[in-house]
Amino acid sequence: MDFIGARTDERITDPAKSSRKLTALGTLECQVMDAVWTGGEGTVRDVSRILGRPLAYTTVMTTLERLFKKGLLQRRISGRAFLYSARFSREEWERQRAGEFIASFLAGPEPARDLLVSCFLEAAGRHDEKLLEDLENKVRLKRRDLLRKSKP
Amino acid sequence: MSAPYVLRIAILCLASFFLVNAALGLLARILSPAAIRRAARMNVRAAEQMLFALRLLPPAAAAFAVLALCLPSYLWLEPTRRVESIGLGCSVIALLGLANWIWSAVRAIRALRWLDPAAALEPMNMPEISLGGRTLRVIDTQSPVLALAGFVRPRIILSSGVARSLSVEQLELALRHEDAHRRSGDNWKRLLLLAPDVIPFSRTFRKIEAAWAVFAEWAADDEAADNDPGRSVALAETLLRVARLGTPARLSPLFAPFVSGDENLAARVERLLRAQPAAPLPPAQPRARNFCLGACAALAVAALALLPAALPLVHEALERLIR
Repeated sequence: MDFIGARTDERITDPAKSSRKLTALGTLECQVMDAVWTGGEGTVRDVSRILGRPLAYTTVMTTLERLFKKGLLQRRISGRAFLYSARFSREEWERQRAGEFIASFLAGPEPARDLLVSCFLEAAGRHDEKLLEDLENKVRLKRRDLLRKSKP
Repeated sequence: MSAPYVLRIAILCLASFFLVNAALGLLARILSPAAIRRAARMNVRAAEQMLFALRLLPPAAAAFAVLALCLPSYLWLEPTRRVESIGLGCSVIALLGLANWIWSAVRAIRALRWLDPAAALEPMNMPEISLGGRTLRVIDTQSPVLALAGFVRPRIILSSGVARSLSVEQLELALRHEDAHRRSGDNWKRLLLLAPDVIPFSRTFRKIEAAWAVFAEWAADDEAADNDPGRSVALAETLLRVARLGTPARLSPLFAPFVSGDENLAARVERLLRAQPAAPLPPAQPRARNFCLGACAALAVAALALLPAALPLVHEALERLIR
């Protein structure tokens, strides 16, 4: 029995309106978000099933409640249970988080900004080191192979 | 909406171009996965040419339809009444056609304004030098710049960083790769790829254009290596050596850098390492070109023969379109 006694106004309350800023998530919260994205709209039981690990019903329920209050989930009542669904797609959520992360850096002191920009430039200016090494190894092997074949 | 004769012609030309281009463009879009699969089994140069033709077919056919059919039929059969009304649908289609052309022109202007990295870096430039019959412009920078720039008199832009890091053999192969781009007129093709899309601000032909770019690079690699496995391996080494220098300076989209993204680099290197010694392919290119020229000539003759009968039909269709 989900949320018996939950206040009626919770059905229409949109906590995200009062708090748009996304906060950092804990490990279980991340897993629950993953489960909701994977399974779509569902009850606490549905989410527990997708999580696939022995978690107490109340733990999942509390986590869902917390995510709802953080504005990441929305819910509607269906019979006697709440049905939870994600307010953002996984992509929107990641984009928003990345935006907030960058904004927090840019709002910081000058050295932090410079550090971020230089990290980006460095990352963008480099080809994947591992890939280059792999390819160089392949070239070396091929060259050796060609040399061996050319010898009588 | 009432409009004078010249405005009606302009609106009809834009609307006709938009409709023909959209119909053929959507067809090309539907055919593109099959065309790309087919291209993967073809000689890379022929594949590059086929994809380029597929991309340009819709705007070229639309331009042909406007210039050879719509315009003559309207000029010949439409009485030069001063004012005639134009339907809302036709006006909207013409506006879409105009937006399509403006978007295409904006993209071309943006690309052309960015054309000459050497000019942008003029204060640091060294003079043009001639090497093995090629004109090179060397830029004094460590950034890995190596590209073919320009249309009428294309020249190779090379940074001193690249020149210093490559051996003579590697530099020769890199220049042969750029020569292949020059011979195939790839810079012109890149400019033509900015021709109007199906819908303004869309990229309907993105897949065809991306596949064309890949095949153009592969074809240039093949021509530089010239079926010699030793040269193929040396070219793969050259690609990696240039990649090690970092990401190249941003160039105009009208010419591709010698080395671009990781994915493309890996595909090119793997392909070069798989190269087997092979006899040169029979010269299929002139045959294909002759076939295309013959087909175009036959189409032109047929169009001329059918024109007197076709023009009234086209005029009737235009009258429906305008209302």
